[in-house]
Amino acid sequence: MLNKERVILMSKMASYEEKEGRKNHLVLGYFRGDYVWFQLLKSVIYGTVAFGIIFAMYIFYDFEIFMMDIYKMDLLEFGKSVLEKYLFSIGIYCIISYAVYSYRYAKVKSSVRLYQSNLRKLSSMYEKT
Amino acid sequence: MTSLLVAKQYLKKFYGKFEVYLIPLIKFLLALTSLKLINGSLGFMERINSATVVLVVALMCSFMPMNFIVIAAAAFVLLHVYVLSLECTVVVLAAFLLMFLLYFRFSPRDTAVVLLTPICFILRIPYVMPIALGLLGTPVSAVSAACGTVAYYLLSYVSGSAATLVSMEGEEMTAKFRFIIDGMLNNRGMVVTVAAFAVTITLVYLIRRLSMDYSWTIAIVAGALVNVMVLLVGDLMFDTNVAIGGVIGGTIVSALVALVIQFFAFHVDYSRTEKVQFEDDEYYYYVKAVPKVTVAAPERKVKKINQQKRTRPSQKSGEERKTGK
Repeated sequence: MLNKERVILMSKMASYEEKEGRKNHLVLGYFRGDYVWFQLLKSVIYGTVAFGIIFAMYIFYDFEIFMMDIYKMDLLEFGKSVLEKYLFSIGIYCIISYAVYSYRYAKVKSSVRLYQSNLRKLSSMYEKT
Repeated sequence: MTSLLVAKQYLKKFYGKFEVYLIPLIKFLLALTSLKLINGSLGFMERINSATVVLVVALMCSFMPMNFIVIAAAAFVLLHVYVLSLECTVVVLAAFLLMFLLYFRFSPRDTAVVLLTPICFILRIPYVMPIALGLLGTPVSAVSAACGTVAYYLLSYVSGSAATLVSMEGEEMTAKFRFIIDGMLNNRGMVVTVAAFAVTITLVYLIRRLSMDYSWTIAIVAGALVNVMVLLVGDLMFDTNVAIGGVIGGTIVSALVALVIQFFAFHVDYSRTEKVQFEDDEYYYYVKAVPKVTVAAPERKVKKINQQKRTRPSQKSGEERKTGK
């Protein structure tokens, strides 16, 4: 005989495995610290590329003036100011990334805990029958 | 109302039954609409303007993940803009890359919003997006809506100044580049719209989460009013030249669309609200339970009237003998 409650539980679990389960499994393959640091590293790379694009656009916007001024300006000072801006923007981006990925890891962990409790419930249902 | 609820149940059933075919169909229609609209508003490259190319790409999109539609749309935009000018392509590509690198890494599911927002702008109902996102999403969705708005304004600026860009053919590359960047950054209308959308999304989200009765309806009305107000105040402060009639008309239509969304996503019966209170070892619970309005879809019963079985006379006499008649 079909057990309705068991079928519902199994459907829910199968749907979870199909959608979030795979991704969550990948996330929980890491310890929390490793996962967050790995994502932060990615954020630094993405942030650096994005900063590079913005910087290139900024230079290209006033390219003629920049080329005229390049001989007069203190390149070391210019490089220093660019580096400061880069570190500031990357710092903010990393803080946001840290908050987002810490929250995401905690969320994944709680959803996996729920999945495991459902699994236990299912196995107890089988034991009863 | 009952017939509407029955229709909703039918739709739900229909979707559940044919989900496998409906999802690719929806993706196909979305891709087709967005590519057609891009071709209609930009349309500088004749090769990709043809219906065959659009159909082939839309068909490809129907079997790919949702984000593929966004990539295909972005590729179409870049190809059209490339024909117009290389500088435009650089600016548009940079804008797209910044969006993908900085924001959509966090929420890849929201990429559809970047596609839907410009579509709603072209259909003249852009205000449906902030209200719908406030109802179905979170305040973070304001960033997605902002990306969609920036994409729309950038493309409309490029298509609007195509003639100027063509006439600047002889000028230096940097002059064209500066012209596009200035046009984009000094677009006050865009900034005001982004601000209005952000305020509307946050307000709608906050109100619809309240535990008061009719919170979703109140959120829709309040969101629509605030949206109009912010846009009009923005017009007064920054002289954005918004069409007041268009804003009010568009917001009314958007609010109506949002009510349809509410009907499908959150249709409850407040007259049967129950408030219960109980406790366990650790907590006191004050629970407000609002029942959903549901109607069972009437099922058609087909009664089959079969022909009466004919029995042979020899069988009949045998049966009679068995029963002793």
